[in-house]
Amino acid sequence: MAIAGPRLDSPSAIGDEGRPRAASLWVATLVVVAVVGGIGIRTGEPSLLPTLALVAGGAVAGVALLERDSFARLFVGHLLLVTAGSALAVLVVVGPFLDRALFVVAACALSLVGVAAAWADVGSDDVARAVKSAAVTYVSMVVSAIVVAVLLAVALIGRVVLQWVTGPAAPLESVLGFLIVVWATAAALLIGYRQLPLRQLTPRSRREPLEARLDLVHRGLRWTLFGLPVLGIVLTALWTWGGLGSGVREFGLGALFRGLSSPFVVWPLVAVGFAVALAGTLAGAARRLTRQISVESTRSAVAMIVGVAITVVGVVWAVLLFFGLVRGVPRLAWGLTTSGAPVAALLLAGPLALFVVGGAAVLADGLELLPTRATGPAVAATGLLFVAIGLGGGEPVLTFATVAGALLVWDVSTFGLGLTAELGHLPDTRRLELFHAAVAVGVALGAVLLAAGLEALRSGAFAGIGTAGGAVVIAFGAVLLLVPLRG
Amino acid sequence: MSRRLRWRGAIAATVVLVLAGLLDASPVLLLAAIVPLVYVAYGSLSTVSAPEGLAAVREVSPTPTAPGRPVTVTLTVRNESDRAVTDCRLVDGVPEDLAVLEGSPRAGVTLEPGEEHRIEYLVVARRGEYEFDAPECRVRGLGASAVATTRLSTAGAERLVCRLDADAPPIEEVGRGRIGQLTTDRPGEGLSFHSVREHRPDDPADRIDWRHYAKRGTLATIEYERQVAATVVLVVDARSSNAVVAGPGRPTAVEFAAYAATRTLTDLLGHGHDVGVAVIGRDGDGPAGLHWIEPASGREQRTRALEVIRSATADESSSGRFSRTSSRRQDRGQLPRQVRKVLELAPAGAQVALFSPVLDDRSVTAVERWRGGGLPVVVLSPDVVPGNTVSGQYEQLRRRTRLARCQALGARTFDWRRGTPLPVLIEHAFTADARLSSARLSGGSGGGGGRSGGEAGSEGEFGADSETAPEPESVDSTPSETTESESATAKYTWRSPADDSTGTERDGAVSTAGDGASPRQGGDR
Repeated sequence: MAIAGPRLDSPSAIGDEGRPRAASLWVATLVVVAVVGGIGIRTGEPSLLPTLALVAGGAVAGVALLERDSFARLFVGHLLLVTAGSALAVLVVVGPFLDRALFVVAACALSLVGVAAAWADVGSDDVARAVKSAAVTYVSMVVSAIVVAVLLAVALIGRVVLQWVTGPAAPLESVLGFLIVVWATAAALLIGYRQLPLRQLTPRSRREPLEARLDLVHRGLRWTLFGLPVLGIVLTALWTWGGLGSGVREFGLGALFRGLSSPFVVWPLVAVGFAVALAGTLAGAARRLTRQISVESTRSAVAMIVGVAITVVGVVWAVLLFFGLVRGVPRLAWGLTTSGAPVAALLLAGPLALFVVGGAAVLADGLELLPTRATGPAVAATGLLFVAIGLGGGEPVLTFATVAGALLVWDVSTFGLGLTAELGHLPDTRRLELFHAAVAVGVALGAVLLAAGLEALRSGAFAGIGTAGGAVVIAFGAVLLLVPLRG
Repeated sequence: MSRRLRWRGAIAATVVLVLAGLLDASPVLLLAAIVPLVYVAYGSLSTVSAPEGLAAVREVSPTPTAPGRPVTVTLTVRNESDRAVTDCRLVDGVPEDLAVLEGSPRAGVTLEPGEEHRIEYLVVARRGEYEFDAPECRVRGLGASAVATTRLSTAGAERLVCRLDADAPPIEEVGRGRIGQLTTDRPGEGLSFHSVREHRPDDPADRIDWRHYAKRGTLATIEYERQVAATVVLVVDARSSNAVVAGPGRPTAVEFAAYAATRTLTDLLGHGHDVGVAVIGRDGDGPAGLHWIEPASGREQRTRALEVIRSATADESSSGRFSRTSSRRQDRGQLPRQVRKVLELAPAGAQVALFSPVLDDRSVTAVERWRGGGLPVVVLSPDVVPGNTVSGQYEQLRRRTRLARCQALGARTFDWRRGTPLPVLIEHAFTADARLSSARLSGGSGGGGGRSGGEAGSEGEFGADSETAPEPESVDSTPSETTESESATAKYTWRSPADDSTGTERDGAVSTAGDGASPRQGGDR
């Protein structure tokens, strides 16, 4: 796109150079909406336009919001990207392979996405960033799901171990169980010692004594961690070969040893260890999330948080489903299954489709198949062209009108882009744009009439002799005519 | 005429439709391939020629103008041919050094025969003469592919002239060229009656009170309220580190300072004061590298002083905002010498008016040195610091802290913020202060008491009567206890003979001077 010369009033248009002027964009939008709405009505699906517009608008809004730098907007952007973006990507990637009607629907969605991208000034850079963020969200979702599964497994194993420890057992087993609980509690306390901001929360006047005590505790915990396994081994050896067992039995100390693994001793230790470990982990996570405050780190953090949030929702959903099944509430289980399963499938498969679509867009931009400054209009026009191809020969006038619409969208959009590039956004150019749009619509109507007339001739007067081969010859002849026309 | 390739996509669409039609065996898709070809033909067949019937007229108002003033530029393009121009894009040739403040110098229009279009925009004036290029006109055919570009010949204004003294009238037009416009409470030469005293042999005969002689038979001499002239040295801080701008294409702080000094010069000379000029931060041919001119009055003094002030903005760079140039080291050595030299060269009883953006501590150091030497100091600081960025707000905070330090040192400081009428500020800064200058000398500082010669001698005499030097001394001696607005208001209120109660209600006007209020000052102003 040629640019007229040096911009003198650029401060008003910084960051907005890629968007056509509003009047041109409105004309292009009306054309796309008219074509998609007309196809919906013609095929008996009047909800096609609002449904697709909602999904396409949500996906583009998600991509556009990733450019912002505030937490809330980034969060909403990621959420829209993972949901609406995934749905759209699945439709575009999978739909054409399933059914011709879905091919048309996917093409309609593509044209709506193009128009929305033109309004939001979304380019290939934004798409690349969105793909990256979606990858982070997806990985975060999967990793957090794995972590939740691991935590569940650990909780189950811990429950079994604690039941074994607190159950009736021999004195040596009780002592060993007690040592295991103490060792785990010491490990949890060590996590808390390292992660909790104890020094920072202490008044400055009392920090020195606190640090002295913390050093003492730290040494004690390290000795405990290293010493308890040794102690356990020594006790076992003495019990087996050293006569410790017989001594205990002789002096009647078995009850004392068994008391070490009683619930009154074990559960408080476990509770303290769990609370300290949980608080330390949360403190460490909060510190990591707030360590580097920049737009990039915020975006990554939000992407991860959205992934974790989706996992949390999934866990809640799974817990409700579990209780619905266990408690015998069939309606709850049925409702959760029918509503949650498609969403889960979409969340698991959608991002992969999103990577495919986004990667294709980035690749097309890299290969210069898509014009850098006119990505949105190009996508919209391409979508309408595919709609026409999807319609095939069933509706000739609708097919011609759709192709003309595609060309019209491209014409007015690039005209508006040229105006933006040459004049910026300040001058009022509505009259000029509407004049050009009126001329372009006239040309489109003429082209449709011409094609419709030829179709009428082909299917009417020359129905007997007209073949597809003849039409091919006509088309190639027309292409050859372009050479002198181009000068 | 040239062509833009707008329809490569249409050719690609044709190919895609042909392939789809072949694969699908659909003659409708093959026929649909004609539609893009129609667009290609439409783009290829449309032509355009360079417009010959377009006439452009440019108006620039006001010109000449002062630095920092918005200037309205109007470009009117008229289609005088008998054919419509369906796609006409215009870009006026704004000089590269000027910034468009409001509006756009561009337009995209369709022009019927006889129709005209006006482009109106504002630019910010900077010192110098700036020539506008001819507006560029680009027309396109109906298909928007054929393009013809030309430059329109323009009638009307072709340049914007910006001078430091653009809105400062010549002294003759003021019509008050008489020396000694300040009326004092002391007896002496003047117009207003003061008192009658016993006749002395050397009294002029035209001052003998003959009515008194007829009544009593003794000679008496009429005394008038004495009129004096103040001596002001205008110091322009023209260091290259001050050549910063509030935005692209805006005047530099040095330009603003020079403009304020020019207005002040004209104002003070018009009221009969003696004015000298010093430019610091430049390599001049005066003592210690100053551009220097001795205080004097009259038309010739104005001409000479304007030349000196212009030297402050000669060849200055306006590279960017707050760009600290390599002159820092130079400032460290040269500036203190020049500041000391100003102190030495200033006549007894003179006051110093510093015009500086106060963007570093060296300005404060200069004020400190002059105040330490006993000179009354006025600081008029143009504000070029943008407030729409965090760094700008930080810099503004530091600058205002420096201004407060100048105030604490006993200098009257005035922050010339954008949008504030400069005449109002100058009136506040110098009218009352000129009246106070000699009284200050006798009161707190006393630096000029021992000097003598010329007008300064009369100033010294006037100021030597410290008993009659009233309130402002107390205000000036405790500057740190009052804010700028408070102290300025107090000084003004003391000198306002019209209404003592106006001080409170004029606080805002004096401190910000942003509402254009111009309180009556009494006396000759």
